[in-house]
Amino acid sequence: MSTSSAFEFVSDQLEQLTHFNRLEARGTLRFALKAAGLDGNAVNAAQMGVVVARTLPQELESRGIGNAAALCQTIARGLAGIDSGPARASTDDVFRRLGG
Amino acid sequence: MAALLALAVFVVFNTAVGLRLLHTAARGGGAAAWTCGFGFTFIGLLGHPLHTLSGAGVVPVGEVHHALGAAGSVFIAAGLSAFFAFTLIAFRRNQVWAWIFTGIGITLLFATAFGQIGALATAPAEMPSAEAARSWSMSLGALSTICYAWSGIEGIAEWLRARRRAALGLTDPLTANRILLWGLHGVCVTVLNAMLITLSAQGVNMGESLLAQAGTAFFSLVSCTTITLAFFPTRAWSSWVRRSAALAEA
Repeated sequence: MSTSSAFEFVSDQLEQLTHFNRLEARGTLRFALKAAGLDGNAVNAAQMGVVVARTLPQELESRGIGNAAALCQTIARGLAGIDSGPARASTDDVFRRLGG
Repeated sequence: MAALLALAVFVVFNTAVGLRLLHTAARGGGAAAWTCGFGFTFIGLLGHPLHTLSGAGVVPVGEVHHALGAAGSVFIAAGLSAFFAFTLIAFRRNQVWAWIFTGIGITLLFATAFGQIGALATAPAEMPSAEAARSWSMSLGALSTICYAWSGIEGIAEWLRARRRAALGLTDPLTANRILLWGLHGVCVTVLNAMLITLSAQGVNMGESLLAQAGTAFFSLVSCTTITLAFFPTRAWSSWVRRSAALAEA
């Protein structure tokens, strides 16, 4: 299954701004997403913004990236221009609507 | 008596929740609301009451009201099919295996329902109806267990992710709690079904078994409570969920 444009953008940024290769960048981002209860296939830009601000820095630090907070701020700025494409109904949307 | 009371409670709560969800669906609630609403309504309002009224499973075949029994079986199959579809739409709509699994489940449900109808229609009049359709009833019970187990597993697994999203402000704590309650409902009905199938396979008379009566009463009440809190949350419950989430975050 294809990953979202927000996922692709952040993993590309990690690859460019750190010593990570493609696999390491994508794997680290998947760990950060998992910590936030999200997955790379459906994550949108707004959700990814929260991940980059809240869970990605810890994942980067635990992998020896020293300037994690500053790096995440740089990625977050670029993320603001990302178009998530048409919204896909998530499980949260389904259950929120069932509440009436 | 306890089982009859549990059936009455089951009918009332499932019907209320089903009609509420159909109302939500009619106001733009989407396919999930339609499937979930039809699931509860078909099973709670029509399937189980019609099947019970027909006498199937209790009286001899000759005394069974076959039209009511057939309608009950078809509505139960339709309701379970709707729940299969709901789980697919809510949790796995982009996965091919889930579409195939749902298709197989629905096909088997209707094949089993019509098998049950055929077995009762062709059995000797003096034969106990529970005996005449035993294998079909067991198959329907097994399919029902699979349906609710899938729903329960998906619900609990999604809640584990949803509570992390809620902690980061990515979802509403009440929505995460609704997912948990849905999962618990699935687990409850699965345990109840598994218990009844096991007892039935051992030839236990459900009407006389204390375990069957108590189990049916307990799990029916718990499952009714979960769906009621999920879809008719009181103000006190909603406040408690939000307060608990805020405390957990702090």
